[in-house]
Amino acid sequence: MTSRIDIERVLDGYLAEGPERVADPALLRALDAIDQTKQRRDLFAPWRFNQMVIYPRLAAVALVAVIAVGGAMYMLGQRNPVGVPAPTASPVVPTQAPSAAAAQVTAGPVDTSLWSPFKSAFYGYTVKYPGGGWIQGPAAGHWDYATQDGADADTLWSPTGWPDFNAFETKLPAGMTGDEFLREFTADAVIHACYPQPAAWTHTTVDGHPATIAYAGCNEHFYFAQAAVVIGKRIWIFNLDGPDRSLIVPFLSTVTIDPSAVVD
Amino acid sequence: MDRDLVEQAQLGDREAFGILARTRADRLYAIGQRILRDVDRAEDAMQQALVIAWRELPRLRDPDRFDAWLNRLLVNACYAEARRRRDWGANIRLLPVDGPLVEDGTRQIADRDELDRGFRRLPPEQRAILVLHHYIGLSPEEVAETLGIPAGTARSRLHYAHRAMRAALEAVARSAAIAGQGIS
Repeated sequence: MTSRIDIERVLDGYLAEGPERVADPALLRALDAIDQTKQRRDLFAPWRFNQMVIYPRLAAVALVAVIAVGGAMYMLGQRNPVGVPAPTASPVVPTQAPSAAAAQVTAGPVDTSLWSPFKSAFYGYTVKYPGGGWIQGPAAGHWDYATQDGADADTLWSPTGWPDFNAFETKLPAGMTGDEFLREFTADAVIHACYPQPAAWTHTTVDGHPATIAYAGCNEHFYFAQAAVVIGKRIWIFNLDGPDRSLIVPFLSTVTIDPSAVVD
Repeated sequence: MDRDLVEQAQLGDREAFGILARTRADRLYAIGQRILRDVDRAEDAMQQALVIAWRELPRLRDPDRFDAWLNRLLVNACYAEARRRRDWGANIRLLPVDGPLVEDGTRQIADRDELDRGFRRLPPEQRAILVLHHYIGLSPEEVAETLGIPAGTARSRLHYAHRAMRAALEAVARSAAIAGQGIS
C-alpha cells in the first residue's frame, strides 16, 4: 500500500514539472494549418439544423398549414351541401425539429473488403479495420480477469479517436459459465453505467460462434457496443466505442478466432 | 461565452475558432509534452489536434463538451505521433511488484532522471492516462469520458499504469545497480 501511495505522489510531482506555454511560432504554424483546412460537413450534421434560420422554418410550417387547411376545405366543400357550415380544420401541429439524436445514422451495409487486417499478439483473434488513418494500439500483455490487471486491450483508433474498436480475451473463472461470467462482469455496469440488462442483449454469431451484443450508453456523449464470444473456457470481449454503435457489426463480420493462438 | 464561440466555429467562423485555439494551445502543448516527453513532437501533436478539431467540429454534438473532446483529439494525436516515430521505450511485460520501492521513508523514491527513464518505458496509452489523472487531475470516470472508454476500463488502465510505472522504476534501478557493479 505504501508503494501505491508513493508512486501516486511521485507522479503528481513529476508531471507537475515541465513547460506550460507553447512557443509563438508553433502556435502560428498551427493557426496557418487550420487556415488551410476545410471543415468536414455531413449530411446529417447538427449544424444544418442550427444553420436553418427561423423564417424559412416558419415559412415551411405555414406552407404545410395552408396546404392542410386548403385541402381540408376543398375536400369538405366537395362533400358538404351549400349552407351547411363546414367544420374548422384541425390545428396544424408543427413538425418537431429533428434532434441531433434523431439524425444519428446507422452504419448500414459496409464494404469491409478493403479494410486492413489486424492480428492480436495475445488474444488469438484477427479483425479488419477501416483504412484512412486508423492506427493500431496493440496490447502490451494479456489482460487478467482475476486481478483486473495485465496489460490492456488491443485498440484500433479512428483518426479522431472516436470511434475506436478494442478487444481482449480471458479465461473463464473456474466453475463459471459464459453467461454467469457476463452477468458478473457487467453487473456493475448495468447498475451504474447505463448498460442494458441481459434480456436486451442481441444474439448473433461471430466467426460461427454464438455471441451476444449489448448496446450501452449513458448519454449522447458516451456510447459503446460490447460483444462477447464464449468458446470453451475462454471469453472474448469486443468493444466499439463511439456514437454509431452499429459499426460493431461490420467489425465483427471480419473477426476470426483461434483459441489455440491465445498467448496466456 | 465559449459555447458561443464553439457554435460559431461549428458554422465555419475561423475567427471564433482562432480564439478557441489560442486559449487552448498552452494546455494542449503541456499535456502533449508530458505524454511524449519531447517539445517538437508536443508541438506537432498540438497542431494535429487543433487541425482535426477544426475539420471535425461540425460533428461535435454538444458544444459544452468541446474541451473534453479536444483533450481526446490531443491524446490520439500523441498516440499517432508516438507510433509514427516508434522510438518510445519498448513495452515491458510486468511482473508483480508488491513491495515498496524505498527501504526507508527518508530516501527519495527515485530521482528525476530515473523517473524520466521509467516513464519513457511506458507505452503512450499508459503515459496518457497518467497525465490525464495526475497532471490534469481527472478522476478515472472523467478519464473514461475523455478517452471514450468504459469507466471500469479506465480504472483498470490507471491501476495498470501505476504498476507499470513502479515496475519501470524498478527496472531502471536494477539497470543502474548492475551498471554500478560493472564499474566497480
